[in-house]
Parts: sequence; C-alpha cells; structure tokens
Amino acid sequence: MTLIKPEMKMADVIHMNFMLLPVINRFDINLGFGDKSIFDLCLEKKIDTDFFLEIINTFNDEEYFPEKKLRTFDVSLLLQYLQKTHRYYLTFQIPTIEHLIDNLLKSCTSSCENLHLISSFFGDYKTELTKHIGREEKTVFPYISRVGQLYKEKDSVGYLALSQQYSMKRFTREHDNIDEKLFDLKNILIKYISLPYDSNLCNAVVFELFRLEKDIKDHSRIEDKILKPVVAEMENALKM
Amino acid sequence: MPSVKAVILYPNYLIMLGLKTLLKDLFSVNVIFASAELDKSGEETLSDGEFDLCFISKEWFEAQGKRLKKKLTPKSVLLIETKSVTERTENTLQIDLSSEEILAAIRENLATLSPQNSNSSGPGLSEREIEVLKLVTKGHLNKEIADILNISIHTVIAHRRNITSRLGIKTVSGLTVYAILNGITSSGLHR
Ligand SMILES: [Fe+2]
Ligand SMILES: [Fe+2]
Repeated sequence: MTLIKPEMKMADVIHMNFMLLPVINRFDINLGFGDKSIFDLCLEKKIDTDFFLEIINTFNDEEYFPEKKLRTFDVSLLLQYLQKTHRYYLTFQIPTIEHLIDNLLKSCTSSCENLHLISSFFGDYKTELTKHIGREEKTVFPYISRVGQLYKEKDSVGYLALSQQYSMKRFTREHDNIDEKLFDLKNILIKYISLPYDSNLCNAVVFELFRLEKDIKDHSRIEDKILKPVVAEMENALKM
Repeated sequence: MPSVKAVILYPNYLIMLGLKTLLKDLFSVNVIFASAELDKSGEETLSDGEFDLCFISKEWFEAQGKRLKKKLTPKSVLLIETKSVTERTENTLQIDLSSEEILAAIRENLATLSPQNSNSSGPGLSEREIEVLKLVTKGHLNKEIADILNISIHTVIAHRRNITSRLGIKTVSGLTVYAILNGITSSGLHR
C-alpha cells in the first residue's frame, strides 16, 4: 500500500483511492483541486498537515497505524474530526441507504414482507447508531475536551471534581461495537435474499453498506486505539 | 474429509490415555502426539503448531510464554479444566462433565474446525442448532437455553458459535431476520 505523502497531488491521491473523498471533505477540502499538492491545500485551508496525513493514511491502509504519532496532536483536532464523521453518517450515509431501501420497497411486486424485514432491521440499526453517537457527543466528547483544557492548565483540583462525572474507564466499558449489525445486514443481503428484486438497487444497498462499514470501523479504531489512550494518559497525569 | 490432527497434553496418564482413545475411536481424530509429561518434545510439538486442535491442561497452558499463547488461536486449543468452576468459557473442557456432555463438547469443538465439511449443502444447521437458534430469536439467554434444552451452557455456547460461523451472522437481531426469512421462526418482527 502506498504511503500518502505531503508533496503528492491531491488529484493523484483520489485517483488512487476514491473512497478518501468523504474523508477529505471532513477537512473542508472539496473537489476541483487542480494540481495542488496535499501540502498546498492544507496551507490554504489552515489544516495541520501532519494530522491530515495521519488520518488519511489510517483510512487508506488498515495496516497503517501510527498510534504514537497521532497521539502527539491536540485532542480537539481528533474530536473535531470524529464529530464531522458522525455528521456524515447521520446526515448523509444513513439517509442514502434508507432512500435506497425505500426505492426497493416501492418497486417491489412480490415477497415484499422480506424487504420490510430488511427495512425494519436497518431502522433498528439507525436507532442504535443515533443513540451511540448521541452518548458520545453529549457526554464523552465534552468530558474529553474539558480534560484537555485541565491538562493544559495542569489543574488537578479541577480534574478531581470532573472525575466524579465521567472517566475513560467508563468509556471503555460503555463503548459498544456498532459495526456488527452492518456486517450481518450485508451478509443477509449477500447470502440469503434471493428474490426478484431490482438487482441494481440491491447492489447499490450492498455497496453503501460496505462503505459505511469500512468508515465506521476506521472511526471506532480511532476512538478506541487513539482517543482513549491519549485521554487516559492525560487523566493519569492529572491525578494527584 | 481429512481427519483432524490433535495433540493431547495432560498430567494425568489415565485421563490422557482415555481422551486419546476416545478421540481416535469415536471421532476418528488423528492424535499425532499425546503425553502426560510436559517435556522437551511436548514443548516442541506445541511451538511447531502442526495440529488443528490441542487438548491441554489449563495449568500447563497458563504456564506457557506469551509468544506461544499468541500463536495458539482460541480455535486451536481446548483447555482441560480439572476443578469445576462457575464461569465456563468457550474453549474449556471440564473433566467432571457427564459422558454425554463431554462428547457433545468435543463434537462441537471439532465441528468448528471444519464447518464446511460437516454439512455439504446449504447453510445446513443441525436440528439442535435450529432449536438453539429459535430460542435465541425469542430472546432467551444462554443459561435459559441450557435449562430449556437440558444441556450444559458450554454446549449452548458451542452451538451459538457454530451458528454464527456457519451463517456469517453475529447479532441476535441479524439471526432473527435470518430465522424469519427461512421460516424457522414465524413470530413477528423483533421488537
Ligand atoms: Fe463515534
Ligand atoms: Fe463510538
């Protein structure tokens, strides 16, 4: 797998892996890059180039995992990125899949009850994901950014009070797996639905599920393998 | 179907020998190494890893170095537990199980090694697995399923692991959809 470097042209990177498009959008980099390099674009958009590179390399290559390097960045950058990803799921990816399933239902002429089953399964998944994200954004992320502040100010007393409310230990316990249901749904469609539905639409659903699963796995990996240890380290440093 | 290659390492000679005979005669397993002593050749066999399944005493396994433990995947070891414990984990075999339970546990562990061989056509769940699947989709916990079917929780866990690996479906709601699609459960939508 090619390592993405700052001097590479953004256009070439997208030619290499177009799945990176939604990822770079989260940094407000959009199509029409001309011949600009990653370095140029980051400068223009005032993005931390190293941070940007680590995120896209992590996404591009599942084997690539620069835990140490990513850990040196400010947590607020990580939180920002994760939040943008949450928005992307809730306002784009999930509705896209819902829309495709709706179209399948509309075009259905026989054995429609099976499609209703799929549709309600996906509905359940949406509820689960929405709850998961809600918990992170209402409780976990605000806690983390507060810890980041206290860490900068070396405020152990402030941390003592804060630690009564939440901790990374609790996050470890509560952070549930949100890609299993997607895996199941994908497999049900691939292996067990063999009825005369519109195959182009069915394929589209499967493609989108693959994409969402990959993105969510990458996202959870960043939460569990980078965010969690970084914050736990700060917690330890703040303990009196 | 190529026979499963097994290794047995257990400090009690009679138990070791009993297990060896059982595996050979009842399950046509190819026992390539069996010993009641953990000497050099035993350790070599372990680190060679040229087997499908290793029956090993829990204490001996625990005493192995990290490097070796990493090499032995949970699928390739079956820990033999001498004392009865309350919490049973997936890859342990308890010496004090009843004959029926012990055979079922071995059968399940062998089955997970070659899911594609045990049933040639279709998803091919066994009747027992279908019973377990039905109960799972009704929302029963492993302990409850064990009580209802009058089998050990160990066996229930082995059945569930088999179902998941054969169908490629991990969650209860996914299994429910599968069961409805295949007419195994008719009972309406989940929740
Ligand atoms: Fe998240
Ligand atoms: Fe999460």
